[in-house]
Amino acid sequence: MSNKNTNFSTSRRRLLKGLGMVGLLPAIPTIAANTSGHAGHVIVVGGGFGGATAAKYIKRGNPKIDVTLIEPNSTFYTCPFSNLVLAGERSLDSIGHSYEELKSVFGVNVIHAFAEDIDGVAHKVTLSNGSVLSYDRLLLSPGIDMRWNAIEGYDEAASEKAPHAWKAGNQTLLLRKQLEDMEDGGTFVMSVPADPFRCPPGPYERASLVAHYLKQHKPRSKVLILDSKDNFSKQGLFTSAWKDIYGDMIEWVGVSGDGRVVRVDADKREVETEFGTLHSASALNIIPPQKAGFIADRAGVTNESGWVPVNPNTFESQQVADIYVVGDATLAAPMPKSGFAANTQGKVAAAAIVASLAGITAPDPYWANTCYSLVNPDYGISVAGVYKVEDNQIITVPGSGGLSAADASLEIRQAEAAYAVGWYEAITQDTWGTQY
Amino acid sequence: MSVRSILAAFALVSCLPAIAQTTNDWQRVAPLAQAVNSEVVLSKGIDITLPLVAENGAAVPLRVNFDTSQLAESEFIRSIRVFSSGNPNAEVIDFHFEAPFSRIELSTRIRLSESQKVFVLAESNQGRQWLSQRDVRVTVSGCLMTGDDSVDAAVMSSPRIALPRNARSGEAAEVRTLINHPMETGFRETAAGEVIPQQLVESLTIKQNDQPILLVKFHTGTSANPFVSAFLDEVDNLLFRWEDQLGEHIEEKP
Ligand SMILES: Cc1cc2nc3c(=O)[nH]c(=O)nc-3n(C[C@H](O)[C@H](O)[C@H](O)COP(=O)(O)OP(=O)(O)OC[C@H]3O[C@@H](n4cnc5c(N)ncnc54)[C@H](O)[C@@H]3O)c2cc1C
Repeated sequence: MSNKNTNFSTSRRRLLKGLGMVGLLPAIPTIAANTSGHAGHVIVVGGGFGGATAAKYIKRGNPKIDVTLIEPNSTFYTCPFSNLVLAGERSLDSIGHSYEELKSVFGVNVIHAFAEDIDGVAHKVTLSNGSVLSYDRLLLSPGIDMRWNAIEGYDEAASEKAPHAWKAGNQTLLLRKQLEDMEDGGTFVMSVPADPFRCPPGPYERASLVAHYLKQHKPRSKVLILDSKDNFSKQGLFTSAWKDIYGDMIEWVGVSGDGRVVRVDADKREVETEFGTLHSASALNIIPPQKAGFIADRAGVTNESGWVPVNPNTFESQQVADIYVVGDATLAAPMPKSGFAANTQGKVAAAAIVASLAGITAPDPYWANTCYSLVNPDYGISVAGVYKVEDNQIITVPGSGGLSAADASLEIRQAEAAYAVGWYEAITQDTWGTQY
Repeated sequence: MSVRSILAAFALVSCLPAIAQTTNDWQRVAPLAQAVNSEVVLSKGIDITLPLVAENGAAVPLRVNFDTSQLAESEFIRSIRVFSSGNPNAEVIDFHFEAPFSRIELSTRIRLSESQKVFVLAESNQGRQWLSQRDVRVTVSGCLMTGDDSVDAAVMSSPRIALPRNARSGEAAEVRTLINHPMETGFRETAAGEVIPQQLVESLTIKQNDQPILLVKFHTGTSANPFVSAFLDEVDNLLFRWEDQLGEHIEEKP
C-alpha cells in the first residue's frame, strides 16, 4: 500500500482532534485466551470495510477463534477517495489495500474466492472454487449489487460504456478515461438514484472533484447532475461552495425539475428523463439503484426491500440465526451506508460474535459516523452523527453530530480537507492494517 | 423544499416509542373515521407500496393498486383517499374518479412527518368501501442532513405531462404529471420564528374531451411539487388543470 500521506501519527491525531472519537469505539470484550479447546469457526464473507474490520476484531477479541475471510480480490480498492482518483489527484494504487497484515499479524485465514451459496440451516458456505466450508457463526459484509435494468437499458454490459464507478477499481478507471477523452466544452452527465444508496454525499463530492479537474483542463465543460431526489446530503454546503469555486459549471436537476433518468442508451451516451427530456453526454456516469450483495439473498437474510433487516444490538440477521450482516447491505438507517458506518458495525458484530461464542452477553453498542466530502482537494465539508439503540431501533443520539458550519472560513474548510485525509489513513489502517 | 426544517425537528419525534397498536387504528384518525360510512369495510383488495423505512419523509413514494376484478357488473371505483396517522393533518391526497377506470393504479409522493401508519380508503359507486394500511418508519439518515432552509415562492410553474411512449389502444396506459410548487404546509417557521403561511396547490383536474375524468385533491400531506401518475383507458384529447389556494390556475395539454 502506498499513500501520499504516510504520517500516520499526525493523521491519527488529526482524526481524533476532528472527531473527539477515541471514546466512541465500541469496547470489544477480550476473552482470556483459553488454554485448550475449540473456540469456534467464524466465516466472514467480503473483505471490504465491514468484513475486514470484523475479521480483525474477532481475532483481537479472541485469538482462539478460527476466522476465515472469503474475498475474491487480493487488493481492495476503497470507494472513499476514489473520486480523487477520478479527478487525477491520486493514483489507484494509493487507495488499494492488501490482506497481508490480516493474515500475518492477526492470523486470519484469507481465501480468495467468491461465496456462491449459503445454507443457513446446515451452517455451510459454498465457494466458487468448489469447496464447502462449515461455520459456527457467519458474518456477511458483501456491500451492494446494482439493480440492473431498473433503469431501462442499463445492465452490466452497459456499465462498461457508461460506468457507475460505484465500486472502485476498474470502473473508476473506465470513467477516468471518459473524462480524459472528453473534449473541452463537453458535458459530464451523472445520474443519481433515490435513497437508500451507498454513500449519500458521494455523487456530489464526485461532481465537485470532476469540476475541479475540468476547471483546470477543460474549463468550458459542464457537469450535469440528474437526480432522482429533490434534496441531498449537505445540499446547502455543496451548492454554495459550487457557486463560489466553480461558478455555473455544475448544474443540478432534482426529480421535480425532471431529473429522474428512466432510460439509458450507453452506446450513444444519451439518457432520457421521466418527462421525456433527452440529454447527451461526453462522459456518462450512471449510478443505478442498488440492493444488498446477492449472497445476502442466497442466505435468505434480505426482505422485500432488497436489504437486510438486523437486530440492532448485534447486527445478527432478523431472519436467520447465526448469520450477522453489516455494512451497506443492511437496513441500519439512520446510520448511512458509509465505510465508517460499516467499520463500526463490523466492530459491534465482532463483539457480539466473540461474546456469543463465549456464552456471554454482548456489550451495549454505539456507533459513530462522519462523512467528509471534498469540494476540492483543499476544501472539506462534513456531516457527523452518533448512534445508539433505543426500543430495539437504532437512533441518532439527540444533539450529536451535525453539519459543517455554513459560514466557516476557508481555513476551516482547509482543515476539514486535512481531517478527511487523516480520517482516510486512520480508517484504512483500522480496517486492513496494524497501525492502530 | 418546504418541509426540510420540520423534518429536522421530526428526526427527534420519530425516536419516540411507537404507540401501542389496536385493530381499529383508523378510528383514531378523525377525517378517516368520518369518511368511513358503511358498516362493513373490506380489508382485502388494495395493494399499497411504500418503503418500510423512508430516509426522507419529505417525499415518500406511494403506489396504490386496486384490484378491479373484485367489482360487480356495473360497479366502479369513485374515490381513493389516503390518510396518515401521525401527520399534523391526517389528509394526504384524494383521487375522485368521474368515470369508470378499468385499471386503478396510482402513484404519488407523500410527506410523513414521523414513523406512522398510512391508510388507503377506496369507495365504489355502490357505496362499498375498502380500507388498507401500511406502517412506515421514517428516519432522517445521518448523511442526508441538507443544511438548506430556503423558502421558495408559492407559485405554480413548469407543469409537465408524460404520455406513454407506446400506448396501445384498448389498453390502459400510465400518464405521469408534475407541477412545481413548494406546497407550504403552514406548519413551518422561518429562522426568525415567523410562521410561513400555508400555500397549497389544491387540485388537479384531468379532462378528456372537455369532460373531467379524474380529480385529484392535494393536502398538506402531499409532497412539494405534486406528482401523480394514473392509468388512463384513453390518452387522446387530454387537458390538465391545476388550481391553487390563491385561486390561480394553470392549464396544460400533453
Ligand atoms: C464514490 C464513493 C465515495 C465514498 N466515500 C466515502 C467516504 O468518504 N467515507 C465513508 O465512510 N464511506 C464512503 N463511501 C461508502 C463506502 O465505500 C461503503 O459504505 C463501504 O464500502 C461499505 O462497506 P461494506 O463492507 O458494506 O462493503 P464493501 O466495502 O463494498 O465490501 C464488500 C466486499 O465484499 C466482497 N464480496 C461481495 N460479494 C461477495 C461474495 N459473494 N463472496 C465473497 N466476497 C464478496 C466484495 O468483493 C467487496 O470486497 C463511498 C462510496 C463511494 C461509491
